[in-house]
Amino acid sequence: MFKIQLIVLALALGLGIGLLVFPIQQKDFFLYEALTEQSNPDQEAPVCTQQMRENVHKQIWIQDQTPLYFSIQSKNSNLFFFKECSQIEIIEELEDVTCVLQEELFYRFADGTTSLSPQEGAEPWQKTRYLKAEQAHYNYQTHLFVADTVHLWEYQLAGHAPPSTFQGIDPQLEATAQSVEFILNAKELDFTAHKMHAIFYETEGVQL
Amino acid sequence: MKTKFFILLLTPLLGFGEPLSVDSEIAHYDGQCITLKGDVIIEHAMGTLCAQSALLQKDVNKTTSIEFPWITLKEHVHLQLKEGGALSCTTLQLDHLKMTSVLTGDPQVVYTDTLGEIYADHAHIDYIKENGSLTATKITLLDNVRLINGSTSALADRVFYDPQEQLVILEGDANRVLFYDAEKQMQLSAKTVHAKKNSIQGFGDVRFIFGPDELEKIKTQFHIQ
Repeated sequence: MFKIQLIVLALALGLGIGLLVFPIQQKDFFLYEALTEQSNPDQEAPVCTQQMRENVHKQIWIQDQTPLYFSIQSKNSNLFFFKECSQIEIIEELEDVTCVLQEELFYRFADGTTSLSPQEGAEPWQKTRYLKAEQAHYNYQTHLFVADTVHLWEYQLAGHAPPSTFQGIDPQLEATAQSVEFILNAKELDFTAHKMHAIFYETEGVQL
Repeated sequence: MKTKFFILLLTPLLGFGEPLSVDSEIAHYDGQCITLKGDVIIEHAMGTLCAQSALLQKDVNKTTSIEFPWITLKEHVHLQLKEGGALSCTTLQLDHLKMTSVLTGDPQVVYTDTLGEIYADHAHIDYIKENGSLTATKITLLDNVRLINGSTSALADRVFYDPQEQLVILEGDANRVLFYDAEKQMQLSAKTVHAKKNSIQGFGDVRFIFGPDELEKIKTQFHIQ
C-alpha cells in the first residue's frame, strides 16, 4: 500500500516538474490544431486546382431527350477543380465558344407539313441551334451552361445526323443576347436568354 | 363607314411573310413554350407591338405546319402602325388553328387614328388564309362599344363588321343603338343599325330624335356640348 502511494506521488512530482520545465505555449496549440486538421478529413483545407486546355471539343449524345445532341468547341478553356470539405465543384471556363444544339428530329413532306414519326414520302429533318459566345461556363455538377455575349442562329436542316456546317443555309431565327443559360441533362430543353434581340425570318406561326 | 379603321386595325395582326424582330428582357424556352418577359417589343414592316409579356405555345404534335399557333400578349399591349393608328388593350390572344384573335381591354380596347377612335370592352377577329396571306372575315366588338369618325359618333352593345361586304352592323342589347352626326345634325336611335359607305339604315322601332336620357348619354360619352 505504501509502495503504491509512493509511486503515485513520484509520478505527480515528475509531471509537476515537467510542466514547470516545459510549459505548454500558444504555438503548441496551433501545432496541435494543424495536426488535428490534417488527420481529420472532414475539416480538410480547401483545394483548388486548375488545368488549361486548348482546342477543346466536347460531344454529348442524349437518348430520348431534348436536346438530342450537344457539341461545344472552344479555343481555350480553364478547368477548375474546387474541393472544400466533402463538396466538389468542377467548372470549366471556355473562351471563344461555338455550340451546336440539336433540338428536334422530325419528318417533312414536300408541301412543308411535318410529322414526328417516319411516314411514306416524308424526309428526315432536324431543328438545330448554333451558338457563338465570347465566353462560357459549364458546371459539371449542375450541368448548367452559361454563355455571355451570345450570337445565336436556328436552322431547319435536312437529315438527322448532327450538322458539321451551316454555310449556305438560311436561318429561321437569328438572335443576340447578353447571356444565355441552359441545363444540359434536363429532360426537356430549359433555355433562357437575357436581354435578347431576335429576328424571325420565317415568320409563319409567330406572326403577330 | 369605318372600313379604313378596321383594315388598319387588322393588317398588322394578320400580315404574313415579313421578317419579325423581337426584343425582351428575358426569353425562356422549355421545348413547348416561349415566354418573353419585360419590355417585349415586336417590330414588323407594318408597325411596332409592345407588351410586358408574351407566351408562344408550340404545336408539339405537329398537327399544323405552324410551329407556334397560340400566342398571348399581356399587360400594356400597344400596337403602333407605321401608316398611322394605334391599338391598345390588356390582352391579345391569337389562335392560328381556330383562325381567331381575341382582344380584351382594361377598361377597354382602344383603336385611334387620324380618322377617329374605336372603343370596346372586347374584340374578336376571325380570318381565313388565302393565297398565303390572311384575310379577315369577321370583326366583332363587344360591350360598351363607342365609334367616333369625324363628326359622327355611335354607341352600341355589339358591332359586327364584314370586310367583304364592307358592312358594319351595330346592335343594342339592353341599350338601343345611338347614332349621331353633329355636322348633319342627324340623330338615330334603333335596335339595330346597318352602316355602309354612303348609307345608314335603322331597324326595329327606329327613332330620329333622341330621348332626353339618350341625348344625355351621347353628350356624356362623346363630350358633346
